[in-house]
Amino acid sequence: MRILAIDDTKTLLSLLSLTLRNAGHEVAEAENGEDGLAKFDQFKPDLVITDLNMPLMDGIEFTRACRARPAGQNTPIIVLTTENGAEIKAEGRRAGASAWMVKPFEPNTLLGLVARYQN
Amino acid sequence: MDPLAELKQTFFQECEELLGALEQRLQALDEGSTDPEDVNAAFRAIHSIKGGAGAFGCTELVAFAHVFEASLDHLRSGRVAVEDAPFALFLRCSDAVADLVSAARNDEPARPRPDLLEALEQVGKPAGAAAPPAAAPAKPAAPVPVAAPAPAAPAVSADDAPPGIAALGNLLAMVEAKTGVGAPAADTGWDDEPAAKAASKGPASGKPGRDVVLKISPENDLFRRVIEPRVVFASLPADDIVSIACDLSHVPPLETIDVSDCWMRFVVTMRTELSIEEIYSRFDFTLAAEEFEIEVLAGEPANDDAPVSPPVAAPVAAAAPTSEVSGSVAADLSAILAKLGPAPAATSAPDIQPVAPAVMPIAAPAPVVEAPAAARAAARAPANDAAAARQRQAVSVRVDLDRIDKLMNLVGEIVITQSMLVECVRSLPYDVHAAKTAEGILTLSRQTRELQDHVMAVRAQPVKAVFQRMPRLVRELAQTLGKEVRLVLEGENTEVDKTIIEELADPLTHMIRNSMDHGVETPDERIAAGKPPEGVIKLVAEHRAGRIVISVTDDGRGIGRDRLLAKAKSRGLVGADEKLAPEEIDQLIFAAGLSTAEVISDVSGRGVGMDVVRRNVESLGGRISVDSEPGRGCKFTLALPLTLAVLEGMVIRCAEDRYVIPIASVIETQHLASTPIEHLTFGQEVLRWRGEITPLYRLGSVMGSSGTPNENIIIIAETERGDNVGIAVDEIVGQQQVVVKSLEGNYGTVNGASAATILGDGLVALILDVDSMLRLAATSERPPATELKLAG
Repeated sequence: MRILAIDDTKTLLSLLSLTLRNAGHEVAEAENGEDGLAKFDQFKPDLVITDLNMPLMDGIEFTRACRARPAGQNTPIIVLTTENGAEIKAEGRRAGASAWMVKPFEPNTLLGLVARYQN
Repeated sequence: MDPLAELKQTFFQECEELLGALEQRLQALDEGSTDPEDVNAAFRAIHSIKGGAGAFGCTELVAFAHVFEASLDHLRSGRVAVEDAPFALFLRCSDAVADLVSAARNDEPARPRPDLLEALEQVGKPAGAAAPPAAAPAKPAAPVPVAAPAPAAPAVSADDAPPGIAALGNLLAMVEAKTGVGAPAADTGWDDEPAAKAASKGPASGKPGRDVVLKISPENDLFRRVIEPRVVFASLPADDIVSIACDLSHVPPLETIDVSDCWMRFVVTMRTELSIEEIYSRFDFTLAAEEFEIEVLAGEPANDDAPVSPPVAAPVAAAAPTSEVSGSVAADLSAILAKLGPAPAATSAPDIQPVAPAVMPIAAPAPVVEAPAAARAAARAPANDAAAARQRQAVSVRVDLDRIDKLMNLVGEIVITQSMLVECVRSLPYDVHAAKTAEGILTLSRQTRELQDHVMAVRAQPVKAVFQRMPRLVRELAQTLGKEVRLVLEGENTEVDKTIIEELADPLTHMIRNSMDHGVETPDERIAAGKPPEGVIKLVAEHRAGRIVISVTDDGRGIGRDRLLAKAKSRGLVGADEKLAPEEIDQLIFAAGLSTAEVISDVSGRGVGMDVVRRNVESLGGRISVDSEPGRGCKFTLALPLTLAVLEGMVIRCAEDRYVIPIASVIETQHLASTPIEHLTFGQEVLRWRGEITPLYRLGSVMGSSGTPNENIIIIAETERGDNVGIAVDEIVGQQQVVVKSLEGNYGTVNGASAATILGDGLVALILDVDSMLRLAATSERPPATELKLAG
C-alpha cells in the first residue's frame, strides 16, 4: 500500500515510516499539513496517517483540505495523535477523518488498522 | 546502532531543540507577549516531546508532559487568559521537563515533581469549582448533522469521479433491494466480507455470552469519511456476529440520491462476551455515539455492566433530528437539481452505471460551494505568506559534525595547495603563460578564500545554543540566593564557530554566577539603595572587529574595591603600601585565589573564580575585562576569536625555521639594531619599551632552531597576564591566515607551541604560544628539534 505519513516530530515520523516500511508498505513522509497536501498530490497515496497538532496546517485542516480535492475523497485518513477528547474527535469526524488512533501506537495495532483498508 | 536506538538518540536531540523553543516562548509570554503563536508553539513543543516520549517508553516524562500540556491547552483554548497564566510556574515546569529528558537520556531515575504537578493541575480551575464537564460524551446531536451538508458541498466538482464511487456496488444492490425493506445481509453484496461470512453461520447457540443487537444508523457522510460499512463491522470480533441486516427504508428516491451519501442502516445481531462499554469503545471514532444504539436481548450478563448503556444515552433523542436533517438534505438536492434543469432519466437500475458519471457533474452545487471556499481562500491568503516565510526559515539539513570537520580539513589542504601554487608561479620566468597562470591562480585564491568562509559559515552556530541555558541558571540561582533577577538576552543569533561555542558555556556560567552572587543585591538592599527590587543582568553577544564580544552587565553594587584591595594585600598579591588606580583594583578580580563574598555560598566561592575564567578565555586566544562602577553595576566583557580552526598569524623566520605567531599576541615590531639592549646580572636581556623594562628572548635559542640565527627584528608580544615581552627573530615573512593543525592529535605536545600549520611550500611551521614559550625559556627545556623536522 502507498501510505503518506504526516507528523511534525521527525523522530515519530521516522518511527512511523519504519514500522510501515517493515510491513511492506511504500511510505512518503511530510512534516505538516501543507507539506502533506503537496506530497498527497505527488505521491497519490492509498491511505494517509496524520498527526493532529502541527505547525502551518494541522491534521484537521489537512483532512478537510484533502476531502475537498477530488483525489482525496476516497482515501482513508487515519488520525494518529495523543489527543483523545470527545470534542476533538467529533471535529475530526466532521472534517472527514476515517479512523482515530491514540499515540503512542503499538506497531501491530497500527498495522492491523491499516490492513482494514487494504483491498 | 539499531535503527530504533538511533531514532531514540535523534529524539533526545530534538527534545533539546523543543525544550529551547518551549522555554523561549514561555519566556516571551512571561515578559508580556500576547502573541497566540507563542502559546501555540509552546504547546506544540511540549506536545511533541510527549508524543516522542510515549513512543520510546519514557513513562515519567509522558506523565509530566501530559499534565503540562493539558494546562497549556487551557491557554490555547482561551479557558485561561494569557494575562492570568502562571508563566513562572510553566518555566519551572519546562526546567523539570528538561530534567526528565536528561534522566531518560541517561537511563537514570527521574526526580518526581508532585509539587509542580499539583500546581499544574490547579491551572484553569477556578478556586472551588466543580470538575470540568468531561462526563458528558452524549452531546446534543442536532447541530452536528445540520452542519454536515456544508462540508459535503465541496466534495463534488464538475469533472471528477464521484465521491463514494467505491460504494456504488453496494448501492446498486441496495437499489435493487429497495422493495424489500430490511432485507437480509446476504442479499446486499457483502458476501466477500468476513463479517458477512459470519452472518451466514446462523445463530451461535452454543456460544457463551449474551445476545446483543446493534442498531447502526450512520450519518450520511459516512462514505465521505472514507469509512465503509465493512470497516465498521471489522471493528467487531467476526466470530461474535450472528447476522447483519441492512435497512434501506431511508434511501431516498434515486433521482434525488447523491451516491456519496450513505442512507443505509444496519442491524447487527451478536452473541458476545464483550461488555457494552467494550463494544462502544470499538466504534469509538468510526461512529459517533449518536450513530449507534446497543440493546441487550438475552443471555447471562458478561460483566458487571447494567443492561442500560450510559454512554449511549441519547440515541433515541438523536434519531429524530437525524432523519429530519436527512430529509432536508434530500430536499436541498432536489431543489438544486431542479434549478440545473430536468433530471436525467436514470430511474432503472441497469442504466445507472453508464449514467452515474454524467449524473455527478449535474449534482455539483456550485453556488453552494463558492461562498465558503472563496471565504476560506481569502482568509488563508495572508496566513499563507507568513507560513511561507516560516517555511523558508525552517529549511535546514542535519549534517554530522564529523563530515563538516572533514570538509573543513579538506578546505585547509586546498588553501595550502593554493599557496604552494602561488609560490611556484612567483618563481617562474615572466612570459605570457606565466602571466595567465598567475591570473588563474589569483582567481583560485579568491575562490579558495570564499570556499573557506562558506565552510566556516556552515560550522558557525548561533550563540543561542549556549545563551539558552542561562535563563534557567538565573532562575535557579535567584531562588537559591533569594534575589529577584531578570535576564535580558541580546544578539543570540550572533554566529560563531562551533569550536568556540563549546568553550563558551563555562566562562559564561561563571560570569553570570559571579554577577548573581556578588553583583546583584538582595531586594531589600536594592530598595534601600533606591533601585527597583528586581535586578537586571544583560547578556549581549555581538561581532566586533572579527571577534565575538560577549558582555555580562549587571546593575548591582559593583566591585567592592576596598575589600578586594584589602584581600589582595593580605594575600601578598599587592604590596602593603602600593597605590593602585581604581581600574587596576578592579582587575584584581581576575587574580588567583581571591573570593570576596562575605559568605561562602553554594553559588560561587568554591575556589573556582574569575581567575579560572580568565585563564580559559586566554588559552582560547581571547581576552576578558571588567568595568565596574561602584553602586551602579559591573560589566564583564569577553572577546574571543570567531574560530579556533583558522588563525590570523604573522609568519616569522629564525635561522632555517619558520614559525607563526598569532597576530592577536603581537603588539608592535621594531628593528633590533635601533633598540638598546641591557643585560641584567643573571644573563637576562631586557629592553626599554615605552619606558618599561621588557624582557627580551631570542626565539632561536628558546626554541632550539637549527642553523645560526641572525636576529634583526624584535616582536613585542603580550602575554596572558598582560605583560609585554620582546622576541628577537631574523625576519618577518608575512602575514596570513593559517589552518590550525593540532599537535597533540598528530604528533605530541611541543613546549612553546600551541599547534602547527602547513605553509605554502608544504613545510610545517609551529604556531607559537607566547606564554608557553616563556615557561620554556624559564626552564630552558628544548623541544626535540630534529625529530620535529622528520615529522614535518
